[in-house]
Amino acid sequence: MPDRREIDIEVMRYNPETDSEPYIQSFRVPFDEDTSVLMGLQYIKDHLDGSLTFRWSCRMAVCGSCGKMVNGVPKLSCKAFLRDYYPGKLRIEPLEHFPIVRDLAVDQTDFLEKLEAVKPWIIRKDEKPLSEGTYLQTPEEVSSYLQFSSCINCLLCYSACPQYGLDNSFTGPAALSLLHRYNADSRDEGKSERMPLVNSEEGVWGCTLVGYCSEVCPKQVDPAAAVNRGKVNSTMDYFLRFLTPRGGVDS
Amino acid sequence: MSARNTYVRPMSGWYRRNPHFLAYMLRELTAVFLAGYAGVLLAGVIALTRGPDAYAAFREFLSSPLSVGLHVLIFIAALYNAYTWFKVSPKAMPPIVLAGRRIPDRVIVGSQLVACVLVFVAMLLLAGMS
Amino acid sequence: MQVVSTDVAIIGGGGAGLRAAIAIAESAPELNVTLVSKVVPMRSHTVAAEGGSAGVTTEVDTLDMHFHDTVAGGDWLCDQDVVDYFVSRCTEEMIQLEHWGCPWSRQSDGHTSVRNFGGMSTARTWFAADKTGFHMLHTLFQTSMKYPAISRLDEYFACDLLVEDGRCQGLLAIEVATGDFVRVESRAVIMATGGAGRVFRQNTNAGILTGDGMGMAYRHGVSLRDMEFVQYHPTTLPGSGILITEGCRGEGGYLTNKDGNRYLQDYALGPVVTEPTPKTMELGPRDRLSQAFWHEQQKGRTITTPLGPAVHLELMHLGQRKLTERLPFIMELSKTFLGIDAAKQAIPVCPSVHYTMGGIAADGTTATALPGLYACGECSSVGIHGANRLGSNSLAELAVFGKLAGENAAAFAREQSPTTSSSLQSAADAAEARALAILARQDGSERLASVRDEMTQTMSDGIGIYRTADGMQATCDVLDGLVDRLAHVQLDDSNRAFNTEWLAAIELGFSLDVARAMAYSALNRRESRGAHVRLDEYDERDDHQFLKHTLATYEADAPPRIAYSGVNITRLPPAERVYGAAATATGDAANA
Repeated sequence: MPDRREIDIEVMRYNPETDSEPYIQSFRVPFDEDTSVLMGLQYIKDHLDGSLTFRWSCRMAVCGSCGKMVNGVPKLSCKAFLRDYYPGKLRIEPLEHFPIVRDLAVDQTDFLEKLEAVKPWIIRKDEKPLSEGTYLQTPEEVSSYLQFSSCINCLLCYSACPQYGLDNSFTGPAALSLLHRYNADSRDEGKSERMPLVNSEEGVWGCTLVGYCSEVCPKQVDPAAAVNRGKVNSTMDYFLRFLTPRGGVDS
Repeated sequence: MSARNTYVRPMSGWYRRNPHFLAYMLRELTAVFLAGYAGVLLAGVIALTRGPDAYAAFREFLSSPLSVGLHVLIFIAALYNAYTWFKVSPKAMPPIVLAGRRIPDRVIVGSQLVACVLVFVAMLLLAGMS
Repeated sequence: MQVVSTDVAIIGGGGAGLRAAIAIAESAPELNVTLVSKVVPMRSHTVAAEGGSAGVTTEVDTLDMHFHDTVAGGDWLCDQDVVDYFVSRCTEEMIQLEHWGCPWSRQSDGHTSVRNFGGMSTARTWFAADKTGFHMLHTLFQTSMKYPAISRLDEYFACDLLVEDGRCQGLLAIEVATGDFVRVESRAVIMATGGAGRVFRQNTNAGILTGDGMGMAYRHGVSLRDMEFVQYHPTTLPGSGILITEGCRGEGGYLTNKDGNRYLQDYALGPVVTEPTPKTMELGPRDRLSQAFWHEQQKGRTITTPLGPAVHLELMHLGQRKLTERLPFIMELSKTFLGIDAAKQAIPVCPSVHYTMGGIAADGTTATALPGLYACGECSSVGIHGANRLGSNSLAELAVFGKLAGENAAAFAREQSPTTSSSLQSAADAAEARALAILARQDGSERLASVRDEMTQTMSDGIGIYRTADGMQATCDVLDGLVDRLAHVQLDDSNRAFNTEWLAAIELGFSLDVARAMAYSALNRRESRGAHVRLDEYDERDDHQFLKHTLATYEADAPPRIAYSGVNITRLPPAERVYGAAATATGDAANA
C-alpha cells in the first residue's frame, strides 16, 4: 500500500490480578485507508503485546461486541477508522459507566439482568396454535416497533448516559427501548405486566433526556425516543388508573 | 460471569468530559433562570396585593438597570431552553405518518421554531397596538 | 474446581443452541438446561446472517420442490430421508419464530413475505429485511429468557467434553472473566458451536468461529463428515470478506465484470433476464457463481481493487426506496466499509469462505456416534447440505434441527441415571492440566499469530474454489508441521483473568484439527462435486466411486483417518445438476 502510515494508539490497561487502578499504555500502529480501530487493536495483540484484552467478533457492526470509548466517544471499534483520527492520536478506553474486568473488557452482566427484567418476549393471553399460521401485521404495524427491535445491545448508549453512570439502578436506554419494542408490537398483550417497571423510578423517569444515547447509537434505534414515549405511556397509565375500574393502559 | 476485582471509574467531573454533557448541563441551568423569572412575577403579584405604593415600587425596580440586565439574561436563557426542548420534542411524541412517509424530526423541530417566531411577532404587534 | 450439575448442557448460544434450549424447556419442563457459550448469546454469529430462511409457503410452492432444490443443490450428497424431514418442518419453525416476535417483512395485507434465493425454484425465503439472522437470534435469545429452566453460563469457554463409560456426561469450561475451571456434569450434551470459517484467510465469519465444537467431538472419536465441502460465498467485500447478502440478487441485483457484462451467461446460467428468475443468472447456486468468478479472474476480466480482484454487484436499478426497505444493512455496510452509496454505485465483491457444509457426523435425529452427544446447526452434519448448501437453508436448519436436538437430548437425559462426580473428576482434571500447560509454558519459541496466519494462508491456497492434488498435498504438509509448532507457542500473557490469548491458543488447536480434517478429506476425494472442484484429472463427478460421505476420524499424532459411508438416496436418483435455460428446458426450475 502506498499510503502506509503510522498512528499512536493509547490504550487503557487494567489487570485485576496485579493492578489497583488502570493506566495508559501507548503503541505505534501502521494503518491504511481500510484499517478500523478494531484492526489496530488486533495488530497490537498479534504483533506487539498479546496480553491486550478486548472483545470483538463479527467485525461488521452487527454483533455488538466491540464497543469502546474512542477519544472519549462511545464507538463500535469495527466501524471507526484510524484514518479519521490521523495525524492526531487515539485514546481507547473501555466503555464508560461499566466496571472494568480487564483492559478494554467491561462487565456487562448488569445490562443482561436489566434486559431480562423488561420481559423482552411476546406475552399473549391466548397462544395461537402454529397450525393456524402467523399473526397478521401490516407493514405500518411493523414500522411502529421495527426501529426499536434493531438494537444490537452494544451498550454504547449506556456509556452515553450520565444518569446510568451516576446511578446504575436506572434501567437504561437499550433495555427501555426493547421494553417499548414489545409494548408497541401489535402481537403483544403484555403491556400491563411491563408498566410497573416503566412507571418506577428505575424506569423511564430515571431519564432526564440528555439525549446523547440517540446520537451515539450505531443502528439509529433512537433510544431517547423510546424512553420518552415511555414517559407519555406512563403518564397516560397514571391517569387511566383513576378513570378505569382495573386501571392501566392495557385494561 | 463473576469477575473479581473489577474497577469502577469515578464519575466526578463527568459533565466536563463531553461537549454534549456540557450543553445538557447548560440546558438544566437555564431552568434556574426560568424559576428566577417566576419569582419576579410572584413578587409583582404580592406587590399588587399590598397596594398601589408597593406596586409602584415594584415597577420602579423593574426599570432599574439591574432588573433590565437580569431580564435580558433570563430572556436568553428562556430562548435556549425553548430551543433545546423543541429539539428533543420529536422523541417525546409518537411518529407522525403522512401519506405513508414518516415526518422527519427536523421538520417537526423547524415548524415549532417557525410557530414560536410567529407568536412572538404577533405578541410584539399586539403590545405595540395597545 | 466448581461443579455445575444439570440435565442437558448445550455448548453454543447461537440460533441452534438457543432453539434447542427452548425446545427442552417446552418439551421437558422438569429438566434443567445449562447453556454454555464463550460469548453472550446475542453476540453469536447467527446475528450476521442476512438474506433469509427457507420455508415453503406460497401456493405455487411444494415440499417436493424444496426437497428437489436442496438435493440437486447439494449435488446428490444429501441424505434424502433427512432432507424430507427438514423441508416438512421449516415452515412451522418460521411460524413459531413469528409467534415469538420475529419481525418478518410483510406484504401490505399483513402476511409474511418471501423472496427469491439462489438455487431455489421459487420464492420461499422468509426474510426480515436483510437482517434475518440478527432478528432470529435476538428473538430466540430474548424468548429464552422467559423460561426459568434455562440457566446460562455466558462467557464460559468450553474446552473439552467429559466422556465416561462410553457416553458423554458433561464438559469442562473456563470462566473467561476469572480463568477458573468449571465442570459441568450433565446427562446429555448438545453441540451447537457453529462453523469454522476462521481456518481460512478471507472469510465472512466472526472471530469466534474457530471450530471448537467440531474439534472437541472429533478428539473424542466422533467423525467429522464431508469436511472438504467448504462454501465460498460469491458476494463478499474484498479483503475483509464481509458478507453482502444473496438477497441482493434475490431482489434483482446484477453481477457484472470489468467490461460491464453480466458474465454469468457464459457459465451455463443464462439466458440473460432482467427480473429475478429462479435458478437463472445471479440466482444460480453459490458454488457455480464462485467458480464463475474464478474463471473471470483467469480471463483477466475482473476489476482490480486495492484489496484484491472483484466484480461489480449492481443494485442501482432497484431504486432508493426498495433498497432502503429491503436491503438497509447492505446500504449501511457499503457506506461504512467502502464509502459508497449502493443506490448510485456498484459494490465490488468477490468470493470468500462462508460456510462449512460438513461437520460433526450426526444422524437425522441429531444423535452422534457418542451416546449422549447431539449436534445441530453449522457444527453438525445431519446430511441436508450435501456438497453445496443452498442459501437460506442454514437458518431454517438451525431452527428445525435445534428443536429436534433439544427434544431428543431431553428424552435421552430422562433415561439416564445421574452422573457420578468422582468418575468425571479425573477426566476433568486431565483436561484442566492440558489447558494450563499452554499457559505455564516458559520455553516456547513460536508466536501464536504466526501459526494462525500460516494456517489460514495455506488453507486459502490449497483448499480454494478450485483445487489440485499438489496444492492440497502441500496444504496437508504445512498443517502437519503447524501442529508441531503449536506445541511451542509462547504466550505473552500468563494471567488467568480474561486471558483471550490463552483461549485463542486453545481455539487454534481445535482449528488446526478441523483444518486437517478438511484438507485430508479434500485430498482424498478424487472427483469434483458441488463445492469441491478439482483442476487435475478428477474434474468430473464420479458417482461410481464417490457418491459417499467422507468420514475423517481423529488420530493422535497422525493425520486423520479417511473412510467413507453411504448416502441415503430414497426417491431422487442422481442426475445432472442444471441451472439457467437447461433447468427451464427440463422443467427443473418450475417443478421437481
